[in-house]
Amino acid sequence: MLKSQTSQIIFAIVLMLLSSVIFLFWIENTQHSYSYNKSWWTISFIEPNPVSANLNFEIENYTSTDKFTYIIKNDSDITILKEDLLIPKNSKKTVSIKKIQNDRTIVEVLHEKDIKTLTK
Amino acid sequence: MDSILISNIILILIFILTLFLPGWLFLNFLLKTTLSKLEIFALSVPMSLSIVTLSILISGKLGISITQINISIILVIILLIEIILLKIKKQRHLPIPYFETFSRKQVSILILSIALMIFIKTTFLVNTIFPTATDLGHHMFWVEKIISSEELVTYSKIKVIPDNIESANTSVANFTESQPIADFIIGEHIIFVVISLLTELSVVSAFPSLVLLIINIFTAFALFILSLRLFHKLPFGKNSAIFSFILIGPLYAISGAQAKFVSGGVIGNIFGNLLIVSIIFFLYISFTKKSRNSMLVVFLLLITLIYTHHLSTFILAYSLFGIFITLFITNWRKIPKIAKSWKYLMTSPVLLLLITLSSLFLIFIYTPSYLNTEAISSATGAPNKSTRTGIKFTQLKTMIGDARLSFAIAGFLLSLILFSKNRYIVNIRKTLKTELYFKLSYTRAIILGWFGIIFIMISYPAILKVNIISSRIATYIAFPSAIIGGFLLSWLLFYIPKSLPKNISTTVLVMLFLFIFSDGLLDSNNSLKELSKTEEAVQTFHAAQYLSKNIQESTWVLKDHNYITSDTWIKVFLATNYSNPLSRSYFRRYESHPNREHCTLEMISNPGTDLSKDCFTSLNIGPVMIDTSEDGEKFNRNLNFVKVYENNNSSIYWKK
Repeated sequence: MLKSQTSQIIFAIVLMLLSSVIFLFWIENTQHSYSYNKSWWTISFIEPNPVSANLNFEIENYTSTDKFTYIIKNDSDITILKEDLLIPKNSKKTVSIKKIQNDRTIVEVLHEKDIKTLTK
Repeated sequence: MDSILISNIILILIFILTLFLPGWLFLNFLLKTTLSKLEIFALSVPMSLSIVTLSILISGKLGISITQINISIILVIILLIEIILLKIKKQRHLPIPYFETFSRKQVSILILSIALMIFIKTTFLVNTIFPTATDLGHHMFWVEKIISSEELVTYSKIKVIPDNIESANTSVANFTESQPIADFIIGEHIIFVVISLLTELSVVSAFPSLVLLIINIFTAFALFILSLRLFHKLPFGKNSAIFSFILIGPLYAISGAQAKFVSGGVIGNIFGNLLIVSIIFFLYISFTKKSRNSMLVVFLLLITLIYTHHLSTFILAYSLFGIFITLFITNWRKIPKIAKSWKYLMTSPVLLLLITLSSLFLIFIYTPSYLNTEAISSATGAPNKSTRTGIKFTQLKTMIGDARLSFAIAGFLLSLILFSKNRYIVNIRKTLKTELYFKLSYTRAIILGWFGIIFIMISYPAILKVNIISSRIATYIAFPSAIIGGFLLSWLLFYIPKSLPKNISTTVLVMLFLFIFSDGLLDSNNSLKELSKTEEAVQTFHAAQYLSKNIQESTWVLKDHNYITSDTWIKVFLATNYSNPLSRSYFRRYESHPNREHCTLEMISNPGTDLSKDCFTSLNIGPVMIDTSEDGEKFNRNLNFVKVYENNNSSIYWKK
């Protein structure tokens, strides 16, 4: 038992402060997770340099649904390729495509009602 | 075991090792017979902050690289020396009954207040602990820079200026040479460097805010023990200290320099407040106990403050001026006696050595960037902007809290009246048995001088030639306000039941306490509505990591500050240059400062114009990060850019 009042006060501060630190550290760690209580996804070129001819791109999924569709178009909005993909939550997939000669390549990725694009 | 749990345990151990143990051992060695256990406990945190900061600063200047192994060795050496000194001295702690005994009711109220304070701050931080704040982002860039370069950094940045300042809105801009920044000081960053290196935790985590939370909580506790000392001769002295703690701890726990500054990363103020309160405490001990060791601690903390925060140093200088002037005016007959005791305190060989060495270090080895004639003269003199000419009383009430400020001003006036030599007042003091207290020169000087001078600095800065934004000074008055407010509340609790019929006195006291508690807690309630920006911030960090993987050190990035959440943290991930990425600032800044460069505005707002193209070329910008819904369409249409990345909020385009 803590006999002195000083010890009681110090013990109270230390105990409550430690609880707060442990709790907040844990909370922030969960908030830092890409998927905890969040729903988002992303697309990006593996090689972003504009002069690079590499058009491989990556899709990362942090939503609860796994169905994605990608469409490759040229600058005149003509579809060159369309394909479905399954990407489970918390994972990513790289898609390899070839550059359309002498034209801008547009990559469209559809997921639920959302569309994201890349161009090169 | 879960990795989060292991990291958490390591973090707590490192907190104890860096923020508690060095100071606790040092104070036990130096002042074990002068201070109570509670005081040593409360002041171990500022003392540790001082010891760790100064030792890494000195070793850094000696050329010792700042690495995990070197910091571990330095810490072990410090702790070993302290333990050996403590063993050699072999002092026993002699209980100081007044400061170590409280009634059961007082202990209960104090513990409840501590619980309420920590609960309110923690609740607020649940939504704000995730590192999103702008200021914290700026600071953590420098912490990361020190870690990656393994040496103390020179605070400087490259600016962007228009080629033609007369027509800046249509002019191309270019980079300047690297220029010093006076806003950052090394003491704000060392403790974070040490903890990050020892725990191996990223600066983009909870630990920086947790350090600030610990410092903030110990500031409230330091104020409690200061108040306990100041009023210890009063029959209601302990109640005064408890009320002071309530006014700075559980009440107004979020606004002002409290939990909002913790999550906001206002490091200088948070550290500065703890050091100011601690310095005033040790000064009081030095003067009243004639303790040379305590004066040594005053100077160690003072040096730490000088290397930590310019505004706090400035406020402390004025506060000490106010305290000493009050002391001399109210004790002018005792000035020779006071001077004699000060001479004794200031002439200890160790203190003289410390002052000499620190002065040499300050002048010849490492002068903080703000210590120059230009910076000092711009902070002193007649206020030259409307924001520096003082703030209105209503604004001050909003910042400090209606009830706290009202009680502080009433307490200040009461103190002035009670110190009067009027026969009626003298009789009241005798009736209340408070005569002895009112002979205490230093208590009087501290409570009147500290509050009085800051109040003048805020309300009438021209009188004191203070040329600093008044609202920045205002947060500092919360601490003397809590001390005087606590004094008034305890005086009323003591005096009213003695002078009014029981029913009336109970009603008056209940009304008073309802007023102060409702005001103080309502203030926190309003602040608790802050929403979490975690989901947006996580995506910003993801985009920043993508950029950092794909750019070279010489690549300049442009991003938007208006719509992207936590955008200041991007520079922490890039870790190249403080100015990289360049930023489209708040729109109002381009309007209020028409002579500033407009390239950063033009390149995002109108990427297709000739001016924009010239700006991209002159500033050599590659990637541009913008909010997709606000600015994406303009870039989608522009064939000079490729789009390389998109998440739910932002996109990255790359100039061809």
